[in-house]
Amino acid sequence: MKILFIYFLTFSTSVSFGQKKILDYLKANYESAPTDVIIHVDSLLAYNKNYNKAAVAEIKYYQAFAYQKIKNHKKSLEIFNEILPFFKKNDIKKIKILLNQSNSNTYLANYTDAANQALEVLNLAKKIKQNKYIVSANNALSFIYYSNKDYTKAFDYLSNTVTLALKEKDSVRLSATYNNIAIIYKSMANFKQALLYNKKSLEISFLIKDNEGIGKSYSNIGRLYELFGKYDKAVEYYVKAIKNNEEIKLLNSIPYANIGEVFLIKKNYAKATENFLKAVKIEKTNTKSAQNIYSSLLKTAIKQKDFEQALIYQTKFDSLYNINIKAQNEEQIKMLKNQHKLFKSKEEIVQYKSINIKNRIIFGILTGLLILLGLYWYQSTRNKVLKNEKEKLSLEQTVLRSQMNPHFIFNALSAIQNSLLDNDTIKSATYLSRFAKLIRQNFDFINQKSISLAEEIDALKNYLDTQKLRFQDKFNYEINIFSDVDVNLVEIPPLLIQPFIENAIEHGFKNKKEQGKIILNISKEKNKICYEIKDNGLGQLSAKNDGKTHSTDIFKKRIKLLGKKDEDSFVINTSKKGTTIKFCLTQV
Amino acid sequence: MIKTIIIEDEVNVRNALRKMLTILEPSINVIAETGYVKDAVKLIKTEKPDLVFLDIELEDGTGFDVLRQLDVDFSIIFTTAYNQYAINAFKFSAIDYLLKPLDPTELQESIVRAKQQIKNKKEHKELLNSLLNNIEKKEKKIVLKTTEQHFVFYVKEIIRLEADGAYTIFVTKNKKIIISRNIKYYQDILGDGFVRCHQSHLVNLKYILSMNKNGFLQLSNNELIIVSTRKKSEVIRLMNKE
Repeated sequence: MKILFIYFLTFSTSVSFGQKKILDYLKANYESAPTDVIIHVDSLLAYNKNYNKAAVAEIKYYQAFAYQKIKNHKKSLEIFNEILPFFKKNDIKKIKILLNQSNSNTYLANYTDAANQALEVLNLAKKIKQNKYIVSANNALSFIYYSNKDYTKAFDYLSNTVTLALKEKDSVRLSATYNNIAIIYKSMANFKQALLYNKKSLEISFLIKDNEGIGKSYSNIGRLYELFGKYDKAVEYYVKAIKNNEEIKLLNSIPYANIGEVFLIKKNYAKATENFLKAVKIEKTNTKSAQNIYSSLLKTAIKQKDFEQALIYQTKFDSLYNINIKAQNEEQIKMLKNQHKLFKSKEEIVQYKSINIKNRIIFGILTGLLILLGLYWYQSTRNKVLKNEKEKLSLEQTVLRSQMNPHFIFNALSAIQNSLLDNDTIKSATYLSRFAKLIRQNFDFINQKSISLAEEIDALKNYLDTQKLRFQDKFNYEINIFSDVDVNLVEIPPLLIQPFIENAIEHGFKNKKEQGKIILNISKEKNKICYEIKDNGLGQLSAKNDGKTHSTDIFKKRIKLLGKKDEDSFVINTSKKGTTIKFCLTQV
Repeated sequence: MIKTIIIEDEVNVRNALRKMLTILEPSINVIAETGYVKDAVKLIKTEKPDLVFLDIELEDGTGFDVLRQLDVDFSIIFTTAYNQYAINAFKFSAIDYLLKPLDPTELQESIVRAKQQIKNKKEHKELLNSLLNNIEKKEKKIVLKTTEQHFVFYVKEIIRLEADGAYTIFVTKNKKIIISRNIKYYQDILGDGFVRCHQSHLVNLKYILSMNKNGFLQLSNNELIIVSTRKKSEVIRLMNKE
């Protein structure tokens, strides 16, 4: 929610106030509120994609300072490295960046990089004739060597600074340089020289009325006397510092705390406690300093064996410690959260896009596949159904055609015509009506799945009689139904037997000189009705194939469609002496 | 007397035909009958008939098998119960045929025409040759008969047909012939390779160059043929199929 609010703010500021305002805000706040600045910049950049690269560099410039402020030197360096190319033409900013990079590198003990950067600043500053940056570069180099414990080199650079500052009459920088020299001497345990330079610094501060500097110098001198073991002198200078601070209304707890430490060493616990308490009073709001002072108060109380007080200080110390730790943690968490959130939101936007595209593609493919599968399934079932239907229809038509074979029809009609020309009126009338019956049965049967065996036999008789007329009694037929077969109850697909009878007549008898004979036997075997068709023709397979579908194939397909697997019972034996066909159908 | 042989495998048809001829045409003398190709060739060679009734479906072959083995110098009346392929060939060659059971009137008319065939042997032979050619699935020829003469064209020579009432105008590269049959008759027998692009037009797909934006077919003989709106898509489909 908080983050969201920040984003909202960021968004609105970037839109309504413009970049100038943002830079002003960043410049004003990177020292005092570095964490906020860091977050603000991250948010700005995450939610405003319309910034050009130069603008991004301008904004990030302050973020790098902010990172340095919170001593995240690595991150600071990273950003400075990133943005440096955008300030090629701005020497001042380039100098500032390089100085800070050098500073950070010194902290990170990358002395070579730090020195190179400081030297670059030195060159640049000389080129643009900016002495204050020459001083800064020298100070930086000095600091590098100081950090590297190469005090001689550190002094060399500082002496350069002194010369320059004196020449420039830059008292502020001269004072700062003297202070630095004092620090180096102090590090070298040359307290005398240190004291000398601190006093030089103090003199300058007096001259330029730098009260703050005066206070600092008093403190530093006091610290040196303390190191000398000259506690009274130390206290004297600390008191001077306090007075100076009071005059300029600067609240500084350090001199009090320092006096406290001196009294502690001198075992003047009451005085020590008094000064520590004064220091604490000043640092009420600064929990970090307060914590340190309570630590000293605790030490003092323990030395006094005032355990009651010690417990109180301990409690105070603990609570401050907790507050500080908590604050520190919170700060860290805040940063982490923000980083995480931004990282996520940035990543998410990118990832979301790619995931979105990916998902869309995957979704599209899946949907496509599903549809295809569905269609395939639908189509295949539909095809199966249609195929079945089509098969049935085409079979029905084939069956119809096989009986209503045009040759058969026209030749049968010719036979009737012939009997008419013989003036045999009754015979003609009989055959004509028999032929009509045959056609009628065809019309009736074709739409039926099954008919009774009685109907089938009746149709067969009609067919056989018509054919007998056509072939002028060239053959006889016999239909034997065993007594256990009830022709009225047995069901049979219409015109199932007729094609075999037709084959016997059309092919078996065609070239046969002797009388033909067809016998149809219908019997019962368990739950099956068996049909046997015998003829004494010349063999049905010897007949030439005229390209029409073989009647056996049609028969098998029809039986298969009934789904009782009766098609396997089909047996055909054919020779030049005749043909026998047998098959059995399961009865429901 | 007209010496006649009946070549027919159905006994009933043979008997019926003989009886009808006795009643209708006493001048016809049926001297022999058979249902077999082999016997038919022998009989014709020895008996030298004036007229032959020739069935297409015989016990051991077809009527065409008989013709191929003979030098035809007799009139023929073809008969068939049902043979679409043969019927189409007859139509292509403008040859008469009788369907079974026989219609006495048609039988009589065909006998009259058969008598004319004897007078015009040259034309008769030409027609038979085209028939055998068409049966043998060679490059198809169509015989177009007018009252005065007949024309034989390869089907591929026909550019287009145009309806003119009950008449049909045939257009080839260098001829225009009017035939007294309707365009539908020819559409049916010509079948694939021709497109009825308009009520009045049947066009050979081979001669279509393109269809212009006004919906006219540009033919290779420079003619423009109108296409009816309904037929446009079908014409385009067939054009691209070629």
